[in-house]
Amino acid sequence: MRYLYYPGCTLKTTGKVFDDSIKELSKILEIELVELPSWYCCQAIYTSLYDTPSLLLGPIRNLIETQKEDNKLVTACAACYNVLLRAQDSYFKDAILRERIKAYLEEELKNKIKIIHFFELLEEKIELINSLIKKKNDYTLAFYYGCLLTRPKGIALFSNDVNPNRFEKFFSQLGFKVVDFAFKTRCCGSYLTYTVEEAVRECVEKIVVSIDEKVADEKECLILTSCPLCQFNLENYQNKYKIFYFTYFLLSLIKGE
Amino acid sequence: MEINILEEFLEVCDEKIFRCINCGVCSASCPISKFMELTPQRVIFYLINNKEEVLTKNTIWLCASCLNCQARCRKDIDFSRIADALRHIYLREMAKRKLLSELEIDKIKREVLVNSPQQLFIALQRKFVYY
Repeated sequence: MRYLYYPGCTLKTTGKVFDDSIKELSKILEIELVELPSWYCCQAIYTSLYDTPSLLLGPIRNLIETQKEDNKLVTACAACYNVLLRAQDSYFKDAILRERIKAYLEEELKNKIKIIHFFELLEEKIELINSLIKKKNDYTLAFYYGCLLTRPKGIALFSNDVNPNRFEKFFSQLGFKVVDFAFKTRCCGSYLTYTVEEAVRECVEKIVVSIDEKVADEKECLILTSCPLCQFNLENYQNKYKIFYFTYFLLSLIKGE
Repeated sequence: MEINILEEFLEVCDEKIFRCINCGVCSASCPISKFMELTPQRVIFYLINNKEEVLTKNTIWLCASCLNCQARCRKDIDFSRIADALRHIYLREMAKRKLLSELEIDKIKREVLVNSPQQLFIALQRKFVYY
């Protein structure tokens, strides 16, 4: 299958590992990812003010660009995923806002674009992945969801926003030990790392403590994530556990490293 | 600062603040409410009672829009949107006095600035800078 792919700014720079592993993985699994032509910033956060519809122009323009070629768009960055999803949702729900946004645009967004997280494509290929993995290591995996993939409720990828378990299911089907910890959807502190460092330190510490409760042997546990923001905060503010992007982890399994 | 905060707020944001029953679930579920001068529930209370001090408290700069409170709110109120609107009202008010940014970039640690993901830094600017 051929999909349009929206990488976003972070995956092209500090999150290069994530982008590279996605591209390599999709090549191995025969998923054709084509970068969205002339994509640009998703505007990083979702904001909607009634008198300033221009705050949502970025994501909507990207979706208009998509509709020229396809009705599906694949993203992997949790922030881009969240912003595109919420912008589209309020565009179609709110008629007044829609009219105001339209005033800025040359073209119209006609139909809803299906925004797909790269993980959903992997879920479909689970049998192929299972057959490709050469050597299984005996790591225990803790998947940290973060906030962007799980909320707002009803819209985001994991409909059960308090206790999602799709990643756990996926990895236990591949034969891994997975831990289910309480703070897997807690906020990591996000951009407060620039302004109020103690707040992030505390958020991360609480996440680590909640993993501690479930893991017997700390050295054998890895945290997996799919968000470059969580990756940065969890890497910077704790050194108990190693943290990887889930695509990078899968790729290294398939390569047998 | 002398403004009618409630009126300004209702102009830019359609979040249903009058539904709030002040139960405090938002403050309890907020991971950083400990660092806030006013908890989310108190912010809504101040807003409904038209107290403009709400703009000078640090809460509006601390909300990272993780939506933990939105997911748990019985009355379907999204606090992150309230904080967004209040931030914008404050920045616009300050812009009238030629103060365009709330961000003290010199205070950010250099190693954090250099290694952090772009997304994070753009999000920071979008929240702290008038545009």
